[in-house]
Amino acid sequence: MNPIAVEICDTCGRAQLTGGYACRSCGGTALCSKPVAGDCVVTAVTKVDRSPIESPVGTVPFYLAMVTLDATPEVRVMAVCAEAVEIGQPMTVTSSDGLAPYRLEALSCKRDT
Amino acid sequence: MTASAYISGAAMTAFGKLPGFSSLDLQARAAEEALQESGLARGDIDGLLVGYATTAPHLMPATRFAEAFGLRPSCAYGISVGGATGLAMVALARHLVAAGAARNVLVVAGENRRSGQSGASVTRTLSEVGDPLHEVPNGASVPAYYALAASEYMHRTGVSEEDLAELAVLMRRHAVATEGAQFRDPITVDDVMASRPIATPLKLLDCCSVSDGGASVVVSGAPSGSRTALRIAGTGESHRHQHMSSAPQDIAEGARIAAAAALRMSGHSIDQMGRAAIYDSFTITLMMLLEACGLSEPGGTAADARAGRFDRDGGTLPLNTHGGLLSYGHSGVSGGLAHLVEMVRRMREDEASASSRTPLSFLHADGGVFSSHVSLVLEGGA
Ligand SMILES: [Zn+2]
Repeated sequence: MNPIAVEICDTCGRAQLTGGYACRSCGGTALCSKPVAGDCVVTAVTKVDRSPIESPVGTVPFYLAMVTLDATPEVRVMAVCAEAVEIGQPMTVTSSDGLAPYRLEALSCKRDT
Repeated sequence: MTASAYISGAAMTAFGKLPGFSSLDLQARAAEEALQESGLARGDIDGLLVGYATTAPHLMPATRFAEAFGLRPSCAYGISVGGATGLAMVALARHLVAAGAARNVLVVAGENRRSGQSGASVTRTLSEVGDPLHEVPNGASVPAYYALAASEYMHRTGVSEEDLAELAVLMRRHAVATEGAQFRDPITVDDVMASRPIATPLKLLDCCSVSDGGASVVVSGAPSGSRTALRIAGTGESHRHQHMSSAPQDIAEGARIAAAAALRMSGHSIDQMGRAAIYDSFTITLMMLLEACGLSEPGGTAADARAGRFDRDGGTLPLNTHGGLLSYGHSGVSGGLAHLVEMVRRMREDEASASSRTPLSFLHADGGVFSSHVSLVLEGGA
């Protein structure tokens, strides 16, 4: 299972997605990159029926969700899924290189594979 | 004493499909009318703010416009804050006037977004709203991002899709009565519910259209001409994040902060407002911003709409009386600026008809996905 790359602020300990130059919470500039597990909870979801951009899980309809990572709940990740998911559902989010596309998988799928 | 700034002219074109007009044409049409209304001459304009146009990207949009329009301002800037750009330019014009940097600032927006947009520019614009590292490669784009915000909000508040639809119906009802609006056929909640799905819970009629159009205002250090002086009594801004993945838990937090700042500066409370104009790129945008700004109770917007509170005629807080982005139309930066032009028209009408309505209005717009926020308070009878 490929982890998700986040940056942890040395000053306040908060995590955020990679790509920033400073901590968005306290402004600290000492950020250290850390891979975290993709276990997560869905906080928002939409079934996308129209999109000018193709999704990595195929053509429309597909599901786009926001999830919070269990390891760093302050980090919200936007992820795609071919199957319907619900708010509150525990899932796993995966990434091939720590960046988008982020794919959502059911926890049971994770155990099967 | 803080220097005051006034809206001395305001104009907009019809919105919709206007083939044959370039973005610059639409900007010039609106600006010419706003200038005439202000009673000022070209030589009186010493400040110029021009909003970006996706169909006519330019390195120096204000300088380009000044040359074409016959202006030689002492300050001129192109401005880009997404959907908040129109109100942001008015706030900035007020700051320039208050600082003594300009006496009369022409604020201009316009583009042929419907007729002149290429597929490449659509994709580029959309990709600037999503995070290139963390969002865009997932597929989907702006409507889906707002749909995500809607899903979270509806889960939290119990608001229904029919509740959202109520706002589309209200905007259409206002557009039916407005000359120049893009959509003037009445619609019902059932029509909205039956319209083509875009990204749940948003359907086609929950989304603003894409229009050609222009809008312009003149902001001056002194009231000008014989018209009612409308003072910019308060401005407030907040820029909390760019991308959804980096948004605070309370995604509309920026609206609360900007609204509070504008009200504080104006010395008035939100309950005193006689009219409102709130950005309505999607029905959910309008609902969440109304509530964040304190104009409706959390989860109470649809009930307010059904009770007629926001109605153009007879409402205690008429809202987006031209039909908003949802039905008057949305032409990039001029879409947001049109809310202000409409407000100026209605407040002048109130004054002329000796209306008992309180001459105070509240305006708010967001850019991105609840990313950049600008609030304004306008005060009549000054
Ligand atoms: Zn920090």
